[in-house]
Amino acid sequence: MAEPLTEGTTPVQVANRASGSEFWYLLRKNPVTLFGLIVVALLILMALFAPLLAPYDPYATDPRISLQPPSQEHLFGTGIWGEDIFSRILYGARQDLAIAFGAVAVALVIGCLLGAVAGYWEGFFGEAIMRVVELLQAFPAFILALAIAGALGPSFRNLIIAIAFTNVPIYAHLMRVSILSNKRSQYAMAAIASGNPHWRVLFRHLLPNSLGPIFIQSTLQPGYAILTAAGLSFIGLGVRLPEPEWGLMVAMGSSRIISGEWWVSLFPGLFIIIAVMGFNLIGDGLQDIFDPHRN
Amino acid sequence: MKLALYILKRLLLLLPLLFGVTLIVFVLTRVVISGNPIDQIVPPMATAEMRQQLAERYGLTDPILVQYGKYMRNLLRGDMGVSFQSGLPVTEDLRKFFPATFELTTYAMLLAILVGVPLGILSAVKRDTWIDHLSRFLSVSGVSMPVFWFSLLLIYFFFFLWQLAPAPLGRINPRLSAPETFTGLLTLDSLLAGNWKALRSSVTILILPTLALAYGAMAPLARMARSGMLEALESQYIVAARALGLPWRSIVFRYALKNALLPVVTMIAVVYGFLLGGSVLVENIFAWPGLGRYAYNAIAGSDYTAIQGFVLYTTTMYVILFLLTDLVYRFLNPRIEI
Repeated sequence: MAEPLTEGTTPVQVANRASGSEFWYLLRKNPVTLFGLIVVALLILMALFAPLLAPYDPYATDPRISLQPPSQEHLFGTGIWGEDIFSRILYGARQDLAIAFGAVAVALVIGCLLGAVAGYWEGFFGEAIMRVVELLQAFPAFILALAIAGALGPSFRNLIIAIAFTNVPIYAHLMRVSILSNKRSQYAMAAIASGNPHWRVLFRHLLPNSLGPIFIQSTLQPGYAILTAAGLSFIGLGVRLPEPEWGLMVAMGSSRIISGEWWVSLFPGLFIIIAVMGFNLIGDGLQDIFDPHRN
Repeated sequence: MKLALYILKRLLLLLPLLFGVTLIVFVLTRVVISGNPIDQIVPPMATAEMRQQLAERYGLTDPILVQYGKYMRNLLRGDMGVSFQSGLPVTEDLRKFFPATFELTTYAMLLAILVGVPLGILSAVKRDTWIDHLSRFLSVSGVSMPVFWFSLLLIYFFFFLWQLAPAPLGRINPRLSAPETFTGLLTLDSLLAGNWKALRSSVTILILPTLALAYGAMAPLARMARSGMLEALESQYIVAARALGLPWRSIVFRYALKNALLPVVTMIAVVYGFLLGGSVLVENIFAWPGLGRYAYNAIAGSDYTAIQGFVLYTTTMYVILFLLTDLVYRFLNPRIEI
C-alpha cells in the first residue's frame, strides 16, 4: 500500500535538497530572483527607516507650496495641499507592505488549516470545506474584495480582511494536495502506527512537511495583495486620508492629470510597480528553481 | 447525446454554486455590514418613529431568516431591490449600464487575445531571442502595473500632452447625437446606422480605456500561450514530425499550434474576471457610463442594494463564462472523456 519514496517526487523534497549552500548557488545562477529579493529587501528597509529617510513630515501640509513640480527641495514634488510626496511615499511603504504581509499571513494560516483538515479527513467533512473554498473562487477576485471591503467599511483592518479572503482558496488547495500526497507516505504511516492521535500526525508530522509549495506561493501573493489594496484604496474602500498609501496617493492626483500635474500620481504608482514586480520576480524564480520537472 | 447530458449536468451543478454566491452576498450586505442601511434613505432630521416605519417597510426588522427568504424570492423573480441613489430598480439600472461595459471589455479582450497570444507563441518558437525577452518584459510589467495608474498615464500623454485622444469623458462626443439603439454597443450601432461621425467618435474615444484594460489582460494570455507552445514543441509527436523531416513551419503551425492554444481557452474566463474587476477602476477614470462606474458611484454613496446587484450580476456572468469556456475546451480537446 505504501509506495516507496522516490527521489525528487515532491517540491518539498526538492526544496529540502536544495537547502543551504545549494540554495545560494541556485540563486546566483538565477539573477532575476536575486534582483527581486534585493528590491523587496530595499523596500522593507525603506519602510523600517522611513522616519530617518523622510525629509519632511508626511502629514504636514502647506497651501503656499501646493502642486509644485519635482525640485531639489521636494524630490517628487508636492501634492494638492503642499504635502511632500517623497516623504509620503517612504511612509506609504509601511502601509502597503503591512497590508500585503498581513493579508497573506492571515490567508496563509486560515487557508492552510482548512486545506490540511480537508486533505486529512477526506469524505464529507473535507468535501464540505472545499465546496466553501470553491464558492469564494466563484467571484472575480477584485470584486469579492470589493464586496467584503464595501460591507465592512473602509479601514486598514477591513482591507486586510477583504484581501485575505481572496487569498484563502489558493492556500487551501495547495495544502490539501500536499497533505493528500504526504499522508500515504511511510513516515505518516509510521506516525499513526506508533499510536499518535490524528491531530498530532496532521499538525506535527504532515503539516510541516507540506509547507514547501506554500512557501513558494507566499512570495508571489504579496504582490497581488498590494495591487488589490491599492485598487481598493483608489476607489475609497481601503486606507483613508490622511494616511499615506500608494493607491490612495495615485487617486489624489487623478483629477490633476488632465491639467498636467503628473507627478502627484506618477511616483506613488511607480512604487506600486516596483513592489509588485519585486515579489513577482522572486516568486517566478523560486518556482523555476524548485520545479521538480527541471532538474 | 453524451455531450448534451454532460452540459445538463454542469448546468445543474451551477445552481448550488449560484445559490452559495447569493448566500455570501446576502450575509455580507445584511449581516456583516457596518452601519444601518436605513441611514442611507432617511433624511438626517428624521424622528425615531419615522426610522422605525421605514425599517419595517424595507423589512429590516424581520428575523434574518425571513429576510433571507424574501430576498431569495425576489431574486428568483429578477427583483434585486431599488437603488437608494437612482430610485430605480437595480435590475433596470444594470440593464441600462451593461452595454457600455460589455463593449469596453469585449474590445479589451479581443485586443489582449490578438496581441498576447501571437506574442506568447512567437516567444516560445524563438525562445531566448529578443522577442522572447520583449514578451517577458511586457508580461511582467502587465501584471505589475496598477490599471488605474496606467489609465492616468495614457490620459496624460495622449490627451494632455500630445492631444491625440479625445477628452476621457464618456462613450461619444457629447455634441454628436448618439445613433439609434440596436445592440447598445455604440460602435456597432453607428456602423449599422451608417453614421460615420458617430462611429469615428465612438471608436477614437474607446482606444485609451481599451488599451488600459487590455495591457494587464494580455500578460496571462501571453504566458499561457508561451508555456503551452513550449510544452507542445517538446512533446513526442513533434519529435516524430521532425524526425520525419517535415518542414519546421508546418510543424509549428499545423501540429504544435493547435495543442498550444488549447490551454489558452481556459484562461479566457479568468481574464474576463480580471476585466470586470478592472472596469470598476477604468470606467471611473474615463467617465465611462458602465457597470463599473455604477458600482463606483454605489460605493461612494453607500448604496448597498446597488453594490449587491453589481456583485451578483458580474459574478453570475463570470461563473457562466467559466462554464462556457470549460465546455469549449472539452469540445476542442478530444482527449478528455466527457
